[in-house]
Amino acid sequence: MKKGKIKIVLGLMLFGIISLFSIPKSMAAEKVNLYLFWGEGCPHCTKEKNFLAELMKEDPDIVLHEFEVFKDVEGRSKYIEATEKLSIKTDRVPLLIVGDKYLIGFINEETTGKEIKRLIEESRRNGCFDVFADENSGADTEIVNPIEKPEEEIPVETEDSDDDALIKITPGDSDSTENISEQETCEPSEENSKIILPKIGNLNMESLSLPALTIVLGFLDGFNPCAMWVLLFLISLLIGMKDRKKMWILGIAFIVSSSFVYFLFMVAWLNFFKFVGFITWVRVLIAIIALVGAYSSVKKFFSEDSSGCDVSNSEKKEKVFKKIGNIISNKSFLLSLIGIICLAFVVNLVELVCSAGLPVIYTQVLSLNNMEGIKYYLYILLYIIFFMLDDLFVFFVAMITLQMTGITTKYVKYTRLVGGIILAIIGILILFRPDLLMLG
Amino acid sequence: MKVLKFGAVWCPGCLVMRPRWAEIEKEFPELKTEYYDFDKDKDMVKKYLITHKLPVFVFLDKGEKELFRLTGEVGKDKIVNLIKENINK
Repeated sequence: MKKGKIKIVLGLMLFGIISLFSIPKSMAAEKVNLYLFWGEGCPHCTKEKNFLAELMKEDPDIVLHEFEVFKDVEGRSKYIEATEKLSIKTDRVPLLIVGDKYLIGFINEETTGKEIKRLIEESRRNGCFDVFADENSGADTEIVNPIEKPEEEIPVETEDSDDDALIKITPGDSDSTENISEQETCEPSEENSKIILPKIGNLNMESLSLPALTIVLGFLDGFNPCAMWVLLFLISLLIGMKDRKKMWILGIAFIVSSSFVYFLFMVAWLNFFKFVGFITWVRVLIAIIALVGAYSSVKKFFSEDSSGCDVSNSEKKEKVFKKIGNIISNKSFLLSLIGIICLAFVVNLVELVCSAGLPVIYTQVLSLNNMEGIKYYLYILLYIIFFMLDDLFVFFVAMITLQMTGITTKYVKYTRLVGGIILAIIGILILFRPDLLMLG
Repeated sequence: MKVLKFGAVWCPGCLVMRPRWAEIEKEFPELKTEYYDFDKDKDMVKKYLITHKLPVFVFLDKGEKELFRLTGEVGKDKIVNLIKENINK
């Protein structure tokens, strides 16, 4: 009888052990609900979604609930509900809620990604608090692991955030804000980066890297007549000077000062777009400016059959020309130098609106790329160097040959065509696929 | 044949054309040319309807009647060929 009982106990233990190991893997870990709030047009949200899609392949127990908040009223009300429940003081996306923790913004897999994984594990260990425990429905999309349900397609959507800092706060502990590195390395997937152009075929946007775009736009912007006409006046007056040394110094001082003002002005635009660039209507407005600029440039290329100087504002031009003449003919070299630097500042400020086109569009593109603060400024510097390059080239050729035979108005016409095409591409991308402009 | 050259001190294209015309005038000493400043010679500017672009080169026959005009930066060869074709008009 005793032997029988022992057998039963051993049998039950064996069954227990076998049962333990035979539990399906999907049952071994607890399911975790992730709530992702995103906005259409937000590139950082796209990055996070791509990351989460990959994570779900690795971890079958993640259930992702997505809510669009910029356009979808229901998504927005869920966002408000969630932020109120967890006392989150933000109006930004992407916002990811894992248990009772949340993350705002997405930097990359190594930083934010690692943090998301940690929060998922923590949520499992501590028992899953669920912000929408009673109603795990109503999301735009509930994405179940694609390995378990391969028939479900993960939608690829784009979103938008202006926040490049990662913030993690536990409810009731508002002081535990933690800023993690802002560096971002995540890029759009290759498939998403392809655009099919008629007669050209696939154009891989990643090959249009941010440095290349910076160089091209900076170079084209250098031909902007708003920025160049004063330099051309200056050159025409400097050519007649006898003092070659003074001629070189004044010319270079003007170009460098103008570039410095341009740099400041682009930094201002960049910070403006970093602040409001995620707002859909701002993005749409910039896209419209780009498309109108593209139309105007291409139209001018085809309609203007001759090069030459536009006679509009001729009185203003003559006035500036006379002022420059007075400045450089000053007997004191120092006064001439100061005068030229001041002139560069004034002219560039006066021409701010006229020359705003490309810098505004470029800084909007730059703001879509999440990166360390210093990198933004280095990109602007790169833009300025190439912007300055054409001016320097025109100036050097004129100073060496003592003739204005360098780049003249004739070539400006062709830069209009190239610039117009690039503006059209950028405008369309800002409007429909801003994620493709994340080239950094 | 006479050529009226319209330009302005502030116009780089006019400066580009200046040495080209200097060479042409050396090659064709019989060619009469006159220069008018867009900002100063308002009467001539108005008379010849210079309204959009500079420089403008108006070619006149012996009877001061306009033969044709060229606008913007024009290559020296093109101007020379046109002068050769019309010099006796």
